[in-house]
Amino acid sequence: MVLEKGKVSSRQGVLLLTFTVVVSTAVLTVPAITAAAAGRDGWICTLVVATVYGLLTALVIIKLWQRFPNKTIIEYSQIIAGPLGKVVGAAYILWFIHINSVVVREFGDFILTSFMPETPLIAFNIILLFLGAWATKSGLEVICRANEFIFPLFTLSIAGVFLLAMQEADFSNLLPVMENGIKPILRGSWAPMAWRGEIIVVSMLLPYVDDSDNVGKYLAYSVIIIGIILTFATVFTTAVIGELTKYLTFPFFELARCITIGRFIERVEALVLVMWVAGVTIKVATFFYIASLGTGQLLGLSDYRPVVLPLGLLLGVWSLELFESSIQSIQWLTEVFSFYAFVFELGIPLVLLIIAVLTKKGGQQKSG
Amino acid sequence: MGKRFVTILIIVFILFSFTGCWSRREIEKLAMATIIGTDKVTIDGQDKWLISANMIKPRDLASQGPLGGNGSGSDKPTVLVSSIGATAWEAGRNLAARLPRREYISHANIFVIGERLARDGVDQIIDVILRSKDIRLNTWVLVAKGQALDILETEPEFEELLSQEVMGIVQNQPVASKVFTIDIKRFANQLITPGQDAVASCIEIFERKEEGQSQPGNSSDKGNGQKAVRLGGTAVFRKGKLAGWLNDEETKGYLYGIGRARQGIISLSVHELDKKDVAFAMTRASSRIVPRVEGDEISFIIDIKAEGDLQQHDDTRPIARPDVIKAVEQKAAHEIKALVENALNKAQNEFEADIFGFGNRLHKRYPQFWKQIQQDWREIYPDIKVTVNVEAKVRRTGMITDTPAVN
Amino acid sequence: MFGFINKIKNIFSRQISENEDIKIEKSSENVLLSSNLDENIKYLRSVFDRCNDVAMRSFQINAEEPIDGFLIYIDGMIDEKLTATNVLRSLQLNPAILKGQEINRSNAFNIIKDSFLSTTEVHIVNDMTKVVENILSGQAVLLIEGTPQAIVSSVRQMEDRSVEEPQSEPLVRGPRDGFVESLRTNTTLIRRRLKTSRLKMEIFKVGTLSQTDVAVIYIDGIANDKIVDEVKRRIKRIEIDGVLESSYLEEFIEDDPSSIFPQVNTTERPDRMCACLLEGRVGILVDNTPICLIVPATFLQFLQSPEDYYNRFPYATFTRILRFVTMNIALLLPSAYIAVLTFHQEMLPTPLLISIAGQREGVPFPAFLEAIMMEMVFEFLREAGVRLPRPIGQAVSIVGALVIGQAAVSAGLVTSAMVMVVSLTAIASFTIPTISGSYAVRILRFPMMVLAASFGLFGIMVGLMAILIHVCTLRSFGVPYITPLAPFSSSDFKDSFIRMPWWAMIRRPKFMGLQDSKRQKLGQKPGPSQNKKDDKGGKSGA
Repeated sequence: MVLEKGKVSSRQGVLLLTFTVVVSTAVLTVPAITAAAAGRDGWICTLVVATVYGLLTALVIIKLWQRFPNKTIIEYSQIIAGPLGKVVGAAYILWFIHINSVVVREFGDFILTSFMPETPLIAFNIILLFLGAWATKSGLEVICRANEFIFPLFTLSIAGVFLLAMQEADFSNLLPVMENGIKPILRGSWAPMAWRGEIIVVSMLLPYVDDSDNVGKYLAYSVIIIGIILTFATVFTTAVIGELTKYLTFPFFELARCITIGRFIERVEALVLVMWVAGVTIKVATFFYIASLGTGQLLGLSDYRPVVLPLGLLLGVWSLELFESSIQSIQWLTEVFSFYAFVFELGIPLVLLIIAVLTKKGGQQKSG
Repeated sequence: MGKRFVTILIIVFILFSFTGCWSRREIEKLAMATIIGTDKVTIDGQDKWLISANMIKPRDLASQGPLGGNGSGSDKPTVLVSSIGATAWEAGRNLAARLPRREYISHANIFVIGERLARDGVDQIIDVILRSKDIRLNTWVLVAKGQALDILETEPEFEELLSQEVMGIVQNQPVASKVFTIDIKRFANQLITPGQDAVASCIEIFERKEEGQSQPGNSSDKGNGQKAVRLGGTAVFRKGKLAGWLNDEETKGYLYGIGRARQGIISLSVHELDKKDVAFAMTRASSRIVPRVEGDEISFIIDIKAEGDLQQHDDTRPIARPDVIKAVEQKAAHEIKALVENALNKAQNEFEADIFGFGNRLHKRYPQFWKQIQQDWREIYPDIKVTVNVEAKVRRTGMITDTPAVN
Repeated sequence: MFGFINKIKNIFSRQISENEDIKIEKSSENVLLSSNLDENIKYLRSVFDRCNDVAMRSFQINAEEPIDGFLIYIDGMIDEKLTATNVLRSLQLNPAILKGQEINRSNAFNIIKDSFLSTTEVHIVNDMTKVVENILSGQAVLLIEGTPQAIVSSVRQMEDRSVEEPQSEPLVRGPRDGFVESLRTNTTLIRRRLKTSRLKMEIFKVGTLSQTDVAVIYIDGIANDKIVDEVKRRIKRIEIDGVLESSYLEEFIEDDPSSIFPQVNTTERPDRMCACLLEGRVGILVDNTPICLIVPATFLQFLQSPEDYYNRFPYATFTRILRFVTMNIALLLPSAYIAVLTFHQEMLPTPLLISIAGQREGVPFPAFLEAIMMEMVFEFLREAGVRLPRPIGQAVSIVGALVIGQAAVSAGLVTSAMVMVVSLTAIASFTIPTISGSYAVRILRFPMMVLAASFGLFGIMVGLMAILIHVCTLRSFGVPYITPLAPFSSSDFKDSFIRMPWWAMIRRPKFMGLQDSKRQKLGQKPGPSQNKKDDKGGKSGA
């Protein structure tokens, strides 16, 4: 049963979509988390460790996909693990929903903290979810196309922040490198790893990609480009803001606030916020979509659209009730999320792959 | 179609009901602070915050055209408000009792810290600033000699607003290189970086006095006690507490030492010993602080390179000759070295504050060694040996070569 | 006869169902001509009962045994002179020139058709509905006693506007001719530009009462067959009483009828139409209107003017980017103003903030209300200006200048900053070269203002994202609406925000799935002559 009739190119669905999904929230939070754990060495976490992890995840996803080219992870987990696969599928759907509600909450908190402290959180959450639901109903093609449209604007705004903040940068802030050895770096790597691992979303999208030759290449590109962008983000926040980075909640945002051009264009951070709204909308829409699609596939529905509304309500309530305060959400992101994400991003797929190889399930395609 | 239309209608309706509440602030309902002062005062034996701010009266300003027309004298365009509270924010909100508008501090780009608060420790005020979403990291920090409130009371002389006046002065500083201006981001970083003590520019009031009376900072404006502000000298902090001040000349030495000197004049005695007869106008300068560790012995070398032009020559003796220029260069180097060593001496021995960031350099260069001595750095610091090497270059001599001889 | 009346009845009683209607069409074909002329005349007289403008003329063909003839046409739709000289006179006067042939009842029809009628286009029909149809569309129909057939002679000439410069799409550089109301003239204008047999024009009749000719025009072998078939299918599907303007058709063939964005491009310019045909698009010409439709439409087309292709490409690129900027200004400036003034005051430079705050102090309305008011006033003025006759229109603009000008400011109702914003928005919205494109922007401006007043820049961005998602769902005849931006295509991007020179645009737009996508030969970039002799000659000459 094909729940999604649209087809996207691998550039749209694999390269660009994963980029936005990961970067839109990572750029906001990751520099703070890595700085808190690894101090000024945060860039090593994002550049090296997380990239290796991301490539490993990509490899597992691709290998699984090559065995089941027309199936999503929800579907092939059932083939591989039998009845247990249903549980795995359900767990994945819950995970998607959970992550999505965290994203929604995180962003609502961010706007609340930095722009409109008097506005109730629910307003932002509802708006964001409304957009997400609409995009989900419109289907994968629309999400990909919308993302393709905002991608250059999104990247340019991030690059713009880097460029404009350049004059404030003092790269000696990055010294000394690896002062306390490798341990804090590994500790700081959990967060960027967890974010990079979010490329697992493509395991839900790969069946709908129409040029399968490029998938592996583009997924690897995506991981590397994300790595570079996030590295830039950590490097620049450390270089511009310095020691202070680890105290800040949103260092990249603070970076944007530092920008002045000729003493006239100042305080442009609101414009940067605007681009983040775009990115996060896409992210929420993507997770929303894969959760709906997965639910449809798990329940054997002929269309995933009827589940959008119930899932939306669930998301809305969950995102509001998830954390009591922003402290809690930051703590959760720092301490719980990484390990939790690890299970779903690399753990389960790896186990699935091993079982599939051992039991010789799935068509052995040519290696890619 | 019908359903969609109804949905859109509902959304629009909800949106309409949203308007007019929450974070909306009409621009004319804001009391815009342009410059904020913070002080600590003791009232009934309790330490309290005294927050003061210059609030704009936009109508008075705007009616005179875009900030250009000199005040018609009818009214001051700003109101000075201040209030007291147990915490800074309480003090700030206490202003509501007397402000018909909501206080708005996003446009305050100057933050004045009172001397008493600075002596108690600036860490508290840094928290207040960083935590607020309205105050930016590139707000300038100035430490007042005396109360910040008094600074805010001063009338601007050139500009319409005091904040513009101070901003202008801050931005004008590179031409003289006698003031160390710093924004909150750098200031906070200095405070939290190990092996580094903070400095900030000092703002003070000077009175226009009768002729002949001494005035701070070599200024000689005449007048009858009108007050104005000037930037001069540097506040030196030790462990986040104000330890003392560097005067203008020492600040200059400090700026050369850390490579923040941009332009500025150095007066030299080239031909005779006691007469400053050459003005060396620096155009660019750089410095490099290099730590050395030999065994347990820590020493630093400050390499300074300065480049500039000959701006004034007070003697008819020929100067546009390589050997004379060389002599000028040597004198200039010597002079700069003396300036830096003077500042260094004061920092090391008088304040025991590592304002040059020697510890920080050591940390970056020898992280392992730094770990061993980090605890004892403050004891070690006053005794470390610092060598200052200066290389000065005269590039051009202005529009003439030798000084025209007068018959 | 009954079929015809039935049809009318059906339309009035609004009981049209597709199947029923097809049946009616078929049954009406069955009314054949009779060989008895009187019967035919009777029939026609009853059909055209109380139709004052139908001219009927009985006459006799000058033969041994006079044969009755009957000519019927609509007065004013045919060329009277032509009919008189070439039809009537030849029939009445000149049978004598026939040599060795006897005219009688049995062969009269063929002889008349082949030898007498000296009009250019003649064809034969044998069914009454066709006869009526032809009469109504301005042909003269000739009936001859004894033959159950009718000759349709094309002497059509209607009162027509001459080809003029199009009012809605004026250009500085480019051809000056524009489409007119007559379909035939319009097809001629196109054919004159594309002299190839591959240019196909298929005529459909749409409108049960209006019987409007609709021509689907495309270049065979370039246009995607799927799109052409889809266009034809959608046009054939239309059941409407009358088509008075191409917009009737437009609303029937759109993909998403409730969208605010136009999904069919319109033009009054034959050059633009031809350019689109060459790109593989399909043109739809409707009789009686100079506005023609072009499908599939893409979003960027609405920001493009034919002049872009006639001007030098750097300038064309500049104007295209300029238009994109002004479109954004037209859409967003008032809302951005509201957002900045009520939520993000920190974004303004301090002097500007003070100056605006000073102006705002006397104004009784919140910024949102002020902006909505002024934008509404501007829309009033525009509407008033468009509908009024020109002399009164000037009065409107004078009053308008007072309302949204200095008078309003000095009355303390609005700030001069707001006046600036409204005027800038207005100017920006005038730069959008297509009218349907500018309507969308005009309408969307208001919801954006509401969003801005509720959530500031966040609200604006949410609105933009909503627009983006909507635009991404749109397709025009299977072509994604915002190509070539998404899905991105580098070869199509050459003609989007930028315009590459012609020699660089090797391929036709890829997104249409064209059969023949190569536009021209590679490597035609011009340059100074490579021939050395020529070069030398040039130098010595200079």
